Amino acid sequence: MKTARQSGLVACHFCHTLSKLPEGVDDINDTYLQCPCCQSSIHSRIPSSLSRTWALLIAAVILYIPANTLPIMTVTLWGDGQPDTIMSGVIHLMDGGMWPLALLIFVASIFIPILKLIILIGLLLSVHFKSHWKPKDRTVLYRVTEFVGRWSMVDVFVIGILVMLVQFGNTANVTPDIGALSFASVVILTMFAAHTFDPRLIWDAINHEQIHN
Amino acid sequence: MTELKTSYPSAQVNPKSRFSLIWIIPITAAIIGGWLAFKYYSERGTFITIIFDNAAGIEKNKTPIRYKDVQVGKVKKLSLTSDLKKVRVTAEIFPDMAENLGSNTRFWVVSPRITFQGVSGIETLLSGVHIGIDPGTKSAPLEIYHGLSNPPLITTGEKGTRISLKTDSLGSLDIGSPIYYHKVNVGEVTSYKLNPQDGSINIFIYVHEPYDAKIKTSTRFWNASGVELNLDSAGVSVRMESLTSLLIGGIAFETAEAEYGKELNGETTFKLYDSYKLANDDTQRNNKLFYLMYFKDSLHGLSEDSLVEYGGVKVGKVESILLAKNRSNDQMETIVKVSFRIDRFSKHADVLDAVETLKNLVSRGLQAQLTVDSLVTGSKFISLVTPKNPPAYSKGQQNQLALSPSEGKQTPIFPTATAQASLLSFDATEITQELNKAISSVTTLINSDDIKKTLAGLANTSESISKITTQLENKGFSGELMDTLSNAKTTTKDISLLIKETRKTMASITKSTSILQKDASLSMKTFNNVSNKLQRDTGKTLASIDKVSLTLDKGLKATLSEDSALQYRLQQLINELSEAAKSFSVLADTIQRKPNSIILGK
Repeated sequence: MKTARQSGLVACHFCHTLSKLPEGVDDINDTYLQCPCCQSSIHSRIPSSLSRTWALLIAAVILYIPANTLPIMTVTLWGDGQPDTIMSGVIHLMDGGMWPLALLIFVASIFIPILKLIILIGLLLSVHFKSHWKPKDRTVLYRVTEFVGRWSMVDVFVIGILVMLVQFGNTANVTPDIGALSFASVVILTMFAAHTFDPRLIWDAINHEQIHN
Repeated sequence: MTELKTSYPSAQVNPKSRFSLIWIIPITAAIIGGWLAFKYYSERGTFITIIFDNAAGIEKNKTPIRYKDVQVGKVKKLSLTSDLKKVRVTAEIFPDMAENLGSNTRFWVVSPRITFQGVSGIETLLSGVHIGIDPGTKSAPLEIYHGLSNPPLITTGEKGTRISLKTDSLGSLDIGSPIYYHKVNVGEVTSYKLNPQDGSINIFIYVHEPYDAKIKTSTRFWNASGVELNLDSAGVSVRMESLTSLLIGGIAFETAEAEYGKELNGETTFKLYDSYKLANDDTQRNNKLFYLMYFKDSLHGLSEDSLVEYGGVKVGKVESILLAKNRSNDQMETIVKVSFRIDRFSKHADVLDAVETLKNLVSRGLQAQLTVDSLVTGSKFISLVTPKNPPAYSKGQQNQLALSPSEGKQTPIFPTATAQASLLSFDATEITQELNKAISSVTTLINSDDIKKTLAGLANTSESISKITTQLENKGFSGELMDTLSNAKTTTKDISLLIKETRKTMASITKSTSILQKDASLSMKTFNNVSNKLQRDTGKTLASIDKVSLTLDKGLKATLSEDSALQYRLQQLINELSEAAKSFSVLADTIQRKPNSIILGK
């Protein structure tokens, strides 16, 4: 089994033209390749995938703290309102007996983002240390991460819709707080992080070993 | 493979900058995160503990602490004290208010309250209770505060004066009772305290700016609770400060403009009078002159607080009425102790000046006299009058009436006079007696020989005059003499006519008088009628008498000598009659004005 990269070839993402990698060029970090046919940017691996993913991931981790500690929205009912964080919202729903909704919010807003962060950090570390541990499982994990990431935006959308719809002055009012912005940033950043991570890097280490062996 | 490899075009290689812009993202995130963290910690307030008697609707993480309706803190934790008697509220005070906390900061729970003064805290019905805060003066903050059970009436921001009032009974006053100045609510009762030593009560009030400037050392406070009803010579008067004070009591104060009062200096204690009347009547002891009065009349109707008037102006009041043994003749006598207000006798309220004025008045004959005030209540007052014939005092008496304020000595005596037999103590028999006298003199006059003689003489004269006239006419005398003679003739006729009429009138007077005598004490109406009739008759009589006297004068001058007995008697009669008529008209006037004086006068 030989990859395109191992064969010294690279495919264009737009015109799908196969072109030769120039000798002695490590495209991953230092060079910028162009398709000889359509002049669009080509690369055999996502350029600076690891550092990009790391950057986005670190930003996400930093913003994850205010996203969870600061209130995401204030629901004012009959002039009496108080700001809620994600967790306090979940607890309120649980107190109100709305278990399924509480579970949904919990999974989408707390469980998934944190899972994503952990998986991505794990993948990055494994690539960094050129781990050989279950590359297939790790690829599955990556796919799940990429797929499920967008669903964390549910919470942000709920806030958006509520803020838009519930504007009745003192009777009932929903205002977004700084936590919502942080949370949305976390979700977006992790989505980009998942996107910039190149799963082929998982296999590269193994293939190198195989080649060397 | 190599074949394949060579057949592919080679990718173009361009150099790339080594620095990736992607690192701006985590840097930005770090900056945002750091700013948020900074904001969070800078907005984090001070934590304090407030101890309340009960939690009364306070909720953890929800109940705000508000100052002037601005949230300055939040309850973070609720727990019970270890002995389960109180509630411990841990609250976060926001930084800007935390700076202003002091050792006298007060906290209380604001909940809906309905009192007679109004409704407060109604907004908490929907939003739930909140904790009110009065930061007080800035000083070192405490860690544990004790919450008040009621909102404080006076918060630190308000300006005014604290005043202490002393009284014997609290009445219906309570904390929050309003203070009135000219019926304007200017403050409230903040607290009260019972002094265990003497049982008196200290009421602490607070008067807001700018009304506190109205309080001087001469200000008088009185309890304005409820309705004050006075029944005195002026009639019935009702005084009420406001409907609120009727329900929850109140205190009113007034500063007399005329009196000299100094500005207050520090917290001052005032006396709280029980009523407006008392507050108004009372003058300080050093503003009074005390005298004793010995009256020979009955003191019925005179009471403590009865007025002393001079020329209708209130100058003092009766302080007390006592019975004492007279040392000289071992008889009981009444002593009335009165007080005169110095400011009534001296412009500048100077004691010596007032005494001098009084001394002068007394040496000119000023005396105290009991006077009936109201016929309805039968109350009396003391009036200071100078009689027409002032009593002449010897030197020794003058010294006795040295009206100086007695320091340690006996209270000086004020001269008195017996009450006048005024119209108010009217006696019908007196008038009838006078009338009878007048009538009898008239009768004697009419029946006297002189009159008869005069009449006969007059008749003769007229006859002879007519004779002379006819003779003269016959002889053709001049007109002037003729006129004179005819005048004389008519005059004589007039006189006889008038005398007849007088007789008739007298008869009717006699009749009326007998009716009057019978009915005077029985029926007011009859008396009224009679008096009306009397008035009419008397008026008529008077007019007739005037006419008579004039004509008589004229006629008699012509016919009789000036110093005859008839003229003298007639003059006397006229005098007496006019006096009687005068007293009648006065009586009639009085009866018309005050019909009830007939019944209640005596």
